[in-house]
Amino acid sequence: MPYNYALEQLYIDQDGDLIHEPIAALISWLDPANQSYSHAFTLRVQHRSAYHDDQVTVSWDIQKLTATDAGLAHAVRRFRKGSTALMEAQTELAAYGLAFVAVSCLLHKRIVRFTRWCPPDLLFDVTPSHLRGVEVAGRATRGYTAFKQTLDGPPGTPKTPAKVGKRAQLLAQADVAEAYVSLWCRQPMVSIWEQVKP
Amino acid sequence: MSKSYRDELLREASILKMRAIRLRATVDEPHPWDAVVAFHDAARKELAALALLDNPPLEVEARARIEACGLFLDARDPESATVQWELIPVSISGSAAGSAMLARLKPTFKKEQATFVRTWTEFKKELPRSGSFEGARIGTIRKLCNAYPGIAGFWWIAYRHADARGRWKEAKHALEHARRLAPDNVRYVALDIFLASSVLAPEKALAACRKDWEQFRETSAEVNQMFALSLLRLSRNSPLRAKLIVEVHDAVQRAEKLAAGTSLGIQANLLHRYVELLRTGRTPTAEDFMRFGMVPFSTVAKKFKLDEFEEALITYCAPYNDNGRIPAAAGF
Repeated sequence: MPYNYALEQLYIDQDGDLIHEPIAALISWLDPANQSYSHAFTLRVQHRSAYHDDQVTVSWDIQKLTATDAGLAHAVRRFRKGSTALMEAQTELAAYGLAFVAVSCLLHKRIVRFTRWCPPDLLFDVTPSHLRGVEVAGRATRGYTAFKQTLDGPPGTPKTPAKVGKRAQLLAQADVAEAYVSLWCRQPMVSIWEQVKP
Repeated sequence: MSKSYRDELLREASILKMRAIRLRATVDEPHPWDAVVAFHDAARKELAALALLDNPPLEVEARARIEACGLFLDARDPESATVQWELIPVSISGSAAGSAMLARLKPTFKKEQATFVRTWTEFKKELPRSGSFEGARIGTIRKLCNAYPGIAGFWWIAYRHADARGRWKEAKHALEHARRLAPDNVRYVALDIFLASSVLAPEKALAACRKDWEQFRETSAEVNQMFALSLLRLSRNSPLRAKLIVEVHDAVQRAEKLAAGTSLGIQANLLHRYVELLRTGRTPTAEDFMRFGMVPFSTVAKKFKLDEFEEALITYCAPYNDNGRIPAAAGF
């Protein structure tokens, strides 16, 4: 089933203060030259070894958005002016914005907390020992190849040890009862939504 | 405290983190100050939320400490990050689940900590033999503040360095940065109140001092005392002197009460006696100062200038005046 999601809806589905920055980053990330307000991602939904491909189209109406969030147009301009050296942080924020969209479309949940240093990033249930949330990552390029490395962890080299991937990190955390991974790439426009547990 | 208050703290922390990432994504500087502050505020809110729990479950405490540690690293404050790292429950780090929790933080923390230790060791080598920060080179101090703008202690060093050289604007700038990172540190607030009268125009200084005093007047003797001294200084040659002296009197009474039985209490008592004279409309004389035990009578009789004596009294009554004596520079 294809999903069409207007970013204006995020102000209803999610906490407006929490999504302000990710939405601004997302608009600028998808549309750096202010040319197109609709972008379609191939969304791969996977659970264990099974998966199916779907499509999610993200669009926006900047006038409607500005009516809800007066500072948004200014925030988008700020991102568009940012140098390419800062693109990594912008990609990070844009991926959070897209994950908010995915959580709204696929789980119909409201994110209540954001953590940076202990997965999962976006929590929709903060009951101690039964945390439920979504781990997020964004990549500018390399699509599924980059996703595989994010999920499984980069392999070791003679100089650097192998790292634990996001999937294994979430599986090992006993206090996380339900976890998803939401990964997004701009070039090509692909995404993975994986239910890691239960 | 209610659960909802804790939730609100953590919600605010979440919003601050998003804001800080945005600042890093849009400001083309190595460590934008506003991002540093937002990350630092977020870390302190995480810890404030943890402190509301009487007996937090192990994993709740571990998550809060890990998050705060990482946020302090984001804020370029490896010193506070190290404190949090050491408070992560030991039993967590030994388990597979704990290792997974720490997987993101551990390599970053270890790397940042090693760099910080190296930088700090290099800095200490450059200090004069006395080990006094005031003797450090300004370029080295600036480098420290630029590399680790989230460490309030480094701004404190910059403040001390500038203050020792009478560079008041620079001192205030550094102290304001320290205050922003440690808003509950009353010493920073009190000294900032004192500096305001040296740096800002009288109207602005009054407004700034009053704003800070409002916040701490019920709880801090130091803030009351510094407010009283700063206002006394600002009142000199002002047409509003009589009105301001009423405020000085209120503050010094509070300082005396809050600091009863301490050396600050003694300083507040002396200032109180002086302000009482002013309140009654009397112009203090050399003999009054002598009765306060401040100067030998012979000196007083020869050259008495009220403004100079009052300034000396202000210095004498300032807390953190380490030697507690009237400095020679005051003309005695």
